[in-house]
Amino acid sequence: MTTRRKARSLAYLFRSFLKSEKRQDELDEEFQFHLDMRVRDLMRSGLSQAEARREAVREFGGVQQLKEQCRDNWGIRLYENFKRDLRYSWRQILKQKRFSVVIILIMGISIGLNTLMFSLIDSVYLNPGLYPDEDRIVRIADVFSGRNARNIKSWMTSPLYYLERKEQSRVLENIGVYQTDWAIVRDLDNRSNSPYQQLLVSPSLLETLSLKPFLGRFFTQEDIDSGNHEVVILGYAFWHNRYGGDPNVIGSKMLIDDEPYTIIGVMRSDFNIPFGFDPDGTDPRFETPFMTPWIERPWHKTARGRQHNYCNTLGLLKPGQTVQNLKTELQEINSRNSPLFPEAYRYEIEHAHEIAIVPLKDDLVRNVRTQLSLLLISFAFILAMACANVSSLFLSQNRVRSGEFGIRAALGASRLRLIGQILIEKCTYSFLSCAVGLFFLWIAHTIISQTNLYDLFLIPPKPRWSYNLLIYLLISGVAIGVFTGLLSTLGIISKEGFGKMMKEQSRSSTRGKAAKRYQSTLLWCQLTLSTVILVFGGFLLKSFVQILKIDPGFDPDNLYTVSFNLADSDYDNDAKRQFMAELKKRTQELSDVESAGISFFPPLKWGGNHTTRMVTEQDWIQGIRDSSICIQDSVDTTFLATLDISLISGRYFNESDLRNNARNIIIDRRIADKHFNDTDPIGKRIALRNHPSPPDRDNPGNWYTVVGVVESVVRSNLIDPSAMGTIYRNVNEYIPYWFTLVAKSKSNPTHLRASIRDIRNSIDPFVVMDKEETMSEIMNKQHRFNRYLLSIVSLIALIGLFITGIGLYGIIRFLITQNRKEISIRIALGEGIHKVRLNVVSYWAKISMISTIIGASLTVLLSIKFETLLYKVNPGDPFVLLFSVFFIILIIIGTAWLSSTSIKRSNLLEVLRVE
Amino acid sequence: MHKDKKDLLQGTLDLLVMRVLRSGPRHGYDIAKHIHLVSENVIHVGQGSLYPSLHRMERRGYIKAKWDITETGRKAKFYELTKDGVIKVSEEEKNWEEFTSAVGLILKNA
Repeated sequence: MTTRRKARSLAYLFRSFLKSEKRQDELDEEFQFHLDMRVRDLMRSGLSQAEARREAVREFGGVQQLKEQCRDNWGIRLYENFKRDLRYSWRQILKQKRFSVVIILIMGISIGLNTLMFSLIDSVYLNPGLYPDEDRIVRIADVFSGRNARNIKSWMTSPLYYLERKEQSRVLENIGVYQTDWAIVRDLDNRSNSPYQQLLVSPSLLETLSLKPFLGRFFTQEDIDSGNHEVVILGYAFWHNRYGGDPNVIGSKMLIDDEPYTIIGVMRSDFNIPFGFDPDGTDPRFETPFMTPWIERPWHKTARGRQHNYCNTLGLLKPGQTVQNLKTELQEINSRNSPLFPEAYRYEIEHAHEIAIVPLKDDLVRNVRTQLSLLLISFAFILAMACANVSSLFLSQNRVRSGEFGIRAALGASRLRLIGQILIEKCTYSFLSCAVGLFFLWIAHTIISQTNLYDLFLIPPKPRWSYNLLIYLLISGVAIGVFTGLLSTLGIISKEGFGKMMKEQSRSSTRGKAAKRYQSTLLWCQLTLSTVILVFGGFLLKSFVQILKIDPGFDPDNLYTVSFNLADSDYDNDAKRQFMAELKKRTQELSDVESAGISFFPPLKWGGNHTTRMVTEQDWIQGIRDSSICIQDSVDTTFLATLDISLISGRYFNESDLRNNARNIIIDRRIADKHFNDTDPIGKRIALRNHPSPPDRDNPGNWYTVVGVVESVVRSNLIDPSAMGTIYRNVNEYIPYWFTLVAKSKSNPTHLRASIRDIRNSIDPFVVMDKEETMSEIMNKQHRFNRYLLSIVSLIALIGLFITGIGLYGIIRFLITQNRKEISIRIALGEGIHKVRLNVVSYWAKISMISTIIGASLTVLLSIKFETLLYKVNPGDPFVLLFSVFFIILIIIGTAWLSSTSIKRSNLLEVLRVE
Repeated sequence: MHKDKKDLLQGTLDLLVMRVLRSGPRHGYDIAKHIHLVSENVIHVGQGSLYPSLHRMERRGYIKAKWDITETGRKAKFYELTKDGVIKVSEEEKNWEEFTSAVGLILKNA
């Protein structure tokens, strides 16, 4: 076809589209003219006018079919049908208002939830929008078996690995390094110091992430090369808090670790380096107060620089390069360089060194994978349940209208035409549901934007309204409409089904066996899915309750904790001992305080563990040289008793231990069980080693004597407690540079805050107090995440219940309407209304029992598969199973009873007349 | 086979209609009547075929339609050949002649 003819054909199509009504009229007129001319000719041949007209009409044949054929040639038949079907669908929706509301609500909520899920995944994974080149940014780390291979949180690299890659990689466009470090900053009053956790960042990292400053500039490689290391960039909040947001701060000095640093810039408020602020992985909201340049040191290029893994590195792949290419290249670089450092090389081989490379986007969701999977599974169930519900309701509606379809089929409508009409009708429902979904989404977005979801997602989701989101909403709406519509038309898609429908339309009140079977299947699916979601929801709820009930191994009630930093004070060890003793003595003298104690690293307080290596004297004698890792803490005489950590044998520390700085030690049950088996550990000796040299057995200075065994406690993570045991050292023997005072209050522990501040001020107002919080607050912080999950799962279970409830109500109500002839006859023959209602309810009770048993069995299988999502809950937990099954049966019976109230003493004749 | 036969029939009708229209604009009834007369009452084109054919050719751009007044003073839709239609009818006539002579040869010599 030539272009000119194509254009003409398109123009014709366009004219037909625009003037379809006019063309219809013209077609009528054209046919009428043809008929009139034929009548005139026939009359001329001698027929009367009536005979001539009759003959002309007979010759002409089916006018409607001919019109259809002509319209087919206009190329707009589909459009015409669509317009007609749409108008018809709208009338149907208005005609069955209650039915339509139920359908639109179920579909609307499902579409809204589905789009919300997309929106969350989009904002935390697909398109977090943190960095311009986030698709090409990768996290590079070195993992060693037995060290950090399985703990993705501690995936780090060493300075030398970083430097080698920076110099030799051709696959990377850029690579940057960063780490956290404590720094002491002189306060503005020039009298006191405050400790801050700063960020050390290489200029190349800021380039890799394409970060821009809010004020001033970032440091550059030129700053470092020219020896201009003492430059600092302030965090946005720090700049506001310390300098009141003064823009003239640029160029002024700040004393960090007694060195004057020039302030050259201020970070933007949304400045973010992945996990750079979160050394413990406990508080992603930790906002960096300031950052200074990461400097290459001479030792970085020695064996030591290769072995110390403490740096985070992020690389930017060149366009077109892949993670696999980078991995291959880095392995080559490593195999070239490693043999130059024999000791480090041996370590690499012994500990199966591996280069781990993760795309940044995957890295960002590593901590939320479980949550996302959980949400996806829950939403998928809701969606499947809604689809089964809606299909079932649509099928019921189609059965009611089978007479209408039959008549249309008899008048010449093809199977495809009928299916098309049904699909357009269902899609009209979908579009209306999309509007409800949009409203639902708007509410969800408003709630999310006003809720702090840092605890749920490391990168807080910022759902955005975008074209993508709206397109997704529309597509999912249409997909659900088409899917449920097709499911509901399965009965007429096959030729046999179509034929049966045409036959059945003459007996509208009775339904075919196939149709009944199909509807029953959908109903069973719906009930089974409802049971699955409720039982699984029950398992998850119980998991969360278990988590909230975790026993930390000590009594957390009425405990007040506050940390003191002695790092920057001029205190020697004696002064530190004196400060601690005085602080504790005065705290104990407070009338509201039951007892008080001091610890270096109290349980749960710091979100991490302070570890050391230990070996028992007995193992040492037997030639066992492998020391094992344990947690260490240094405590005073009353700390363990204040926390109510039970003494199993021996004693707590006493004043004599403190006075003599005795090298006595208390161990917990885990260490006692692991290292002393059935023997009594009291009096036995333990050596602590943080260096490779062996302890000298004959030198008592190397050994600690066990004086007590206490119960094990949860040290850092309530949900995933460490299996490591703990040793407690005497606080006077192992003096920390910061410590925590723990006070047991007789009433509300927060009342101690002011009193303890007063005590500090009276002893030394320049000692920094930090992290003033009660133990309950610390535990609540750890549970926040679970509370969010608990709320979400509860919400999903509620939505599931709501959908099940209204879906079931609609179907039972419909089935009662379907059988109203039979019901009316039974009532007319003298059967009581209550008995009829009871029959309906008992029928549904039987169905509910069977379907819930199937659903519960399925859930048990599913739970075994997803056991990792459950916490201390057996997938076959009888309590949860029985309770959930009972609950769903109750809902089904309740819905059946509610629906059966529509059975009324109706006039039999009236019903029969309608039939 | 069936499809080929149908195409042939459709093509033949289109050819007849376009050939009739080469002599000037005509309305549908006139076209059918003219074919009937010229073929000496052998070919009767039913309305069921004629009007879809006319609308199809109009869409393809071989003919165009306009409303006009007949000799009896009634308004009717007149069809006339376009330039493309004129070319098309010549091509189709040639094809038809080749085809019929080929069929003739087969009938005569086979």
